[in-house]
Amino acid sequence: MSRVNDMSILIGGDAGQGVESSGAGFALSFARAGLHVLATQDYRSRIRGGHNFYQIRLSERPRYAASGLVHLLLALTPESVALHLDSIAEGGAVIFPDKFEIDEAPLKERGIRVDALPLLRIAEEHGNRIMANTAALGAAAGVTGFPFDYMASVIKDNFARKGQEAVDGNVRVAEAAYQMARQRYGDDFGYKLQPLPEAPKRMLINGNEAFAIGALAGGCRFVSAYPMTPATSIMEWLATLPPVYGVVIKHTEDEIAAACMAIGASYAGARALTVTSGGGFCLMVESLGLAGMTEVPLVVAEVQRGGPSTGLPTRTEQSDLLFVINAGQGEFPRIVLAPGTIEECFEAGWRSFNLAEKYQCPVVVLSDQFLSSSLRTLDTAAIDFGSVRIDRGPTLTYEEIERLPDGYNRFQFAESGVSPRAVPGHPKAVYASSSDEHDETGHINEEIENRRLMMQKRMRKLERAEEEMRPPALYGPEGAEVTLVCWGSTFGPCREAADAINEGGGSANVLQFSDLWPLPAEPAERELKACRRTVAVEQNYTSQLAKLLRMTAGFQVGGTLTKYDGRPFTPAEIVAGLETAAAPVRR
Amino acid sequence: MVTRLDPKIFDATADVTWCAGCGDFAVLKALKLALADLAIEQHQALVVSGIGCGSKLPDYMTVNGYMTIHGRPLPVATGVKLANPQMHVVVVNGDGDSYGIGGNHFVQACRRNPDITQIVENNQIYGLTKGQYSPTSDKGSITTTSPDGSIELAFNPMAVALAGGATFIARAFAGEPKHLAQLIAAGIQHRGYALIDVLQPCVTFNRVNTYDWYRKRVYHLEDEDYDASDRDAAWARAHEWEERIPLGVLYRVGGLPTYEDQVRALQDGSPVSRLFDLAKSPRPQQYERLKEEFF
Amino acid sequence: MNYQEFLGEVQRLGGFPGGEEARATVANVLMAVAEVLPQEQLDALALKLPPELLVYLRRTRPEPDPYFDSQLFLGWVVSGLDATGARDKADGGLDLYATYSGDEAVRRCQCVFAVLKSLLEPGENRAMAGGLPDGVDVWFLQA
Repeated sequence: MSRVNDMSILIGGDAGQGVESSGAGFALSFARAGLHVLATQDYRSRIRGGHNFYQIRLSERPRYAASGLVHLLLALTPESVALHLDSIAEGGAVIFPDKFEIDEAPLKERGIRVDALPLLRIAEEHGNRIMANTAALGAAAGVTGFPFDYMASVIKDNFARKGQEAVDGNVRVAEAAYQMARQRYGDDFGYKLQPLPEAPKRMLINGNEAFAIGALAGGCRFVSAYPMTPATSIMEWLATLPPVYGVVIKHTEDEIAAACMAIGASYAGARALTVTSGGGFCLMVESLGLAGMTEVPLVVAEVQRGGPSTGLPTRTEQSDLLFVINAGQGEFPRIVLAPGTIEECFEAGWRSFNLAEKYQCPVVVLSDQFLSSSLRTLDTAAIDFGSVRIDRGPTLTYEEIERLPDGYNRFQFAESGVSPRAVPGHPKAVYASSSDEHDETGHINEEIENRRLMMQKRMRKLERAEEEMRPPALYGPEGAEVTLVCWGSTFGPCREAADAINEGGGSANVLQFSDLWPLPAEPAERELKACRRTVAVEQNYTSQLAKLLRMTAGFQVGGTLTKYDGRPFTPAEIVAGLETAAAPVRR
Repeated sequence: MVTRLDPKIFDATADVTWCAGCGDFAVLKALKLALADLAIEQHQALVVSGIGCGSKLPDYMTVNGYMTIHGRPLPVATGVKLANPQMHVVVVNGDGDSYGIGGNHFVQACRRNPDITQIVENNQIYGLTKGQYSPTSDKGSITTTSPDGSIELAFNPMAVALAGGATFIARAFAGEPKHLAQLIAAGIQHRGYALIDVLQPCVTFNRVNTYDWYRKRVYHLEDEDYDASDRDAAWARAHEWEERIPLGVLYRVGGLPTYEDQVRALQDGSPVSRLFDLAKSPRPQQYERLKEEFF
Repeated sequence: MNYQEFLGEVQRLGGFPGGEEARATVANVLMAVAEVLPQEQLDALALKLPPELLVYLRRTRPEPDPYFDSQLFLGWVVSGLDATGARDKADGGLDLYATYSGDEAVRRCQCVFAVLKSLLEPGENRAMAGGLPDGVDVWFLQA
């Protein structure tokens, strides 16, 4: 009895053993073979030592969540076995170097096969000792019956820059391990992998990369940022672009400079981006107010991680929602988007800039470690550059400024609250802006009437923006017994949980919020009231979305399911948690 | 010979809130003179300020301006410059704004060398908040937050700028507006980061460092046999304060590339100009090749 | 007029509570005047003043600065003045910072100018006004 193309492989080892790099290469080989892949990493905030692992979920249909079950464990350290023992499915297998002293009894009790292989010897014999994890990957491919060619092609690409010798060595090692595993264990392993040659070509990409591509396509040509896990790869991806794209990248001295430089660049008329995580966003708060007060477009990607303070730097969480919505002294308009899938990250990349320039305010794109760093196979068509719109709204071109009557005022009162915005540099539009309260000309002004009008002008923009914010989207059958209410990356495990429930004879759907501020209150209230039982599923302690819904739409969810241990939800956890998710919203 | 503009084009009608006799008036006037002398028009310059009395300067001029937040005009100005390198960018802020809360950005600007001119209105006090000591207050200054005399050594901007790698370092005195205007013009002309620290009495809150106090101490480096390209000489003069205070260009090195000169992405356009182009013709095909790395 | 008389007259005109405040005001105004007047006019003025005041007529640079304006003049005048304050026009109480409002600073200048003018011939007054920056000349003539 065997299952084909429906399994999860986990590679566990110490930090510094190359778990991530070899895992990513392995995942790519499956993607090239036409399988759907979802790959997640789990690593600690250290360079060497400490356990970390790479998990690759394989399927013939798209997967959006991590799986709690492992069918094949490649253990590069003895402790990896103990650590993941409980997640291994019945009929699953563990491959490890035969030199390890592993207590096989608990494994055998659970019906788990023990495939001890001379991985280190194979590595030494055919290449080099350090290629032990390549050997492990080769063995994994062999055990599942997956054709070796795909692995070979990835090895060639990955090791090309290290020289032909490295390529050849790794290929030899992998192949030797492949053959040995095939012979010894291949036939009776219940989980098989087969390529799907008819499948379309797919990209293996993560949320940060998708967002960066979207920003680039959306006209972003300036990025100032301070490195912070897990946002850094957005800046790094854009920094390695060929200079022909003209993206100016500045790694700044701190996050305050990062936000301020982006604001300056935007003030001068560029589409400017800064990226950070919660701690860095804290430092940007005052600058956010500057942008809001002086009506300067700004896009901030806030890729959340476990907090508070330094927290869990390499792990995931969704606990900055209320912070981001309220950050900054006083009141000013901002927009907060929360993409829930990698495709939505791409779209947020360019849509955020359109919104920022249309409403002349900060736009925060909230992501998280899971969405930003996990790799997923995406149909090439999902990254559709033809669908990208660069819409600068009320931003004036120099030709348009030329045609203006005299006396341009940057903060001209307007019905919509948005004033036509002249990019500095034209003689007919010379103006100064002030972070102090100001009048239409931009000059400092504390008078009562002006203050009222200016405050209303700015906040009116928020009312307008609300009209174009997307209402929550329903996934699954209407009128289901239970509705999982979620935002951000939790959408992935929620949709799989709903699918599982529906397939098992139950009734569930998912209400996903992606435009979080200004929350489109009326459609939200309508959708929520149409649900039979609502459970807010979030990766934070205080159910921040549930609180937000109560505040804006006056709606109290029926229950909450929270997870704040830094690991992403699995669909199974959600299904199990629904039994008990009657907890009220915590304070 | 460059046509000299009429400095009055930079005049504005806003109600000036500076105290009568404030040294900021001299800075405002000198900046207008410098821009006019260099034939830089109102739309070709952008003055970025922080928070403080002196930071209200852009409000009193007709020129592009941005009054930002305390301590942060330098990074904002750097962003402006990187987005539109054609713009003449001038930063105006006080000693607290620049050497205290903005200290990190100040040091970074020195080593970064963007083509930005910074004028620091150094009155050795916090004026807008009514009389606390500042980073450049002399040790022992008695102020509202240092009733027993301030404990820390005064910040030495000349020395810090020199150590930080700044390529144009000058000091002026508000009591000599012509000299001040000349130094500002020289700073703007200098390709790279230019610091002009302006000694400027706060007539309301600083009873010690008055016009007379400075008059007794300031002297012009130009009047002595001084070589502004000599770093060691600059280092020595940077530490003169108690009895003699040097004015003029303390250190200058020309011909070095600015930060922007070395940014490859700026070679064929700027983020601002490219965006105007993209908005007209987005050319989505140009990105297709970027998908290759994900296959 | 001797030194004490000069100070006394300024104190009377200004309504200053103490002699020290009068002395400081006189010193500052004279130093400001010294910064702007051409050398011959300064020399002529020196001949008419009590000798104790000559120390304030020494200026920083050999040549007057062409951009020395009325604001800078006021700066010299009020800089370092430890004023006991002036009447707050609005409330009739004491406003410690009123000295530094433009009106009060000009008023103080004019107290000294008035006494100076009394020591000069009309022709000399006109000449002196001519050597002062725009605005300051008006204050001088109206003192």
